[in-house]
Amino acid sequence: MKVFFINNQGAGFADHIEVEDGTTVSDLFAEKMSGQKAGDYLIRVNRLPTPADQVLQPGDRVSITPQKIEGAA
Amino acid sequence: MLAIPILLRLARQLERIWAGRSEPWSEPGRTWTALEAHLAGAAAIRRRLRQALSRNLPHAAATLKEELVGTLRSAAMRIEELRTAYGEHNRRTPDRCEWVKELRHLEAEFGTVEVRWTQTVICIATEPVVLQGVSLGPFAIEFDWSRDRSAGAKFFKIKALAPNVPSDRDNVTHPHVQDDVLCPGDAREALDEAVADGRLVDAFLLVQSVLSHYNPNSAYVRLDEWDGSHCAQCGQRIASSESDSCEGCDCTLCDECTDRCEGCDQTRCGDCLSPCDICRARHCRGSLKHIESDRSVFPACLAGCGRCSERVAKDDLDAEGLCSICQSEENHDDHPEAAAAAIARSG
Repeated sequence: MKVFFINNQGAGFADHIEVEDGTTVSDLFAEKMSGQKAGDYLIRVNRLPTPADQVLQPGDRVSITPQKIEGAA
Repeated sequence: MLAIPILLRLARQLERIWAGRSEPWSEPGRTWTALEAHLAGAAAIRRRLRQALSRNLPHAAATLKEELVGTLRSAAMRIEELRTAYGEHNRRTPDRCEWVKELRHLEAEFGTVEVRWTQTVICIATEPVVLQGVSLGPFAIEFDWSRDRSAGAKFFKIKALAPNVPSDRDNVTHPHVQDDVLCPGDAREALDEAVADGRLVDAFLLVQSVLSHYNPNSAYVRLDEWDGSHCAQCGQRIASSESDSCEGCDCTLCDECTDRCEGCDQTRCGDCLSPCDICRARHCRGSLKHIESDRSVFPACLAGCGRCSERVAKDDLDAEGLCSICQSEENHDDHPEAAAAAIARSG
């Protein structure tokens, strides 16, 4: 199924991706953000906070934004 | 919460502006033309190669094979360019409904959203920011929707609502904010993409993420120098925890410029100390006594003449403890002619 995935880490990504039926939010995070801690990110599904075990539905909008980013001078 | 009429008016405005900013996709015609030319060229070389092979011309065949490889390589590059051009993300700008959802989402994440129509600004306030124990206060993040799409982070102004600025840099309100402009660092690309896509909530969250974190390797003013000042002697910037002050004039001193009076042991700067002309030790300027021989001397370097009790510099006393005047008088008593000659010579 297709979901709209937004990853605000690094250069950013925002596009539709294919995921397996039954994929949860935490499954998607583990796949796309390998090695990262979910607590370091703001994760929203359809613009709402969501439990990690929530199963994604077709057309869902998933966004992941780091909570701490290094600025510069 | 934004009233419905304001919400709809803003959504309409943003839809119009973002739709006007999106670049239309154009077909890569020139790349297609180049690919067709390479393929036609490859077909021609292939025909000649088959002729060379059928006439048993190995040298000609080897040369034609090389030429064919080069032409196919060029064709492959054009195919890759076309693949990229057709597969490229088509930036979809939000419609009015999306903008309404975006603005309501902004309220859900940040609370009150303020809209200033004359300044074309959407403004939210953050929670107070504390980095490494330094309290910087809350910030207003202002998004100017009228700026050109190339503005990037400059779509945003970051205004300190309860500023706590370094002592001599009042235009730096955060280690990564100068003159109300954020230097987004690692967030720059994602921020540009979010704004271009009309994902305002993502953009505001990215700005907040930069404000919530401290990068000591690239800051307008480092946090360990935030409360600091400059050494009055050498000008070096010093953290307040590492500074000292002169007990004479109260100026700020770094470790290296801090000195002490050899007499009273109080902390002094170089300007408040002076060397004794006898022992050369540095003493508080006011503690030195100016004596007749036009020298400045620390009282401990004075001694009383054994005859007249006048306090003179120690090195002015002879081996018998007499000052120069008493020495002359004694010489006069013992050797009047020599004393008169000495007086005549000195006269």
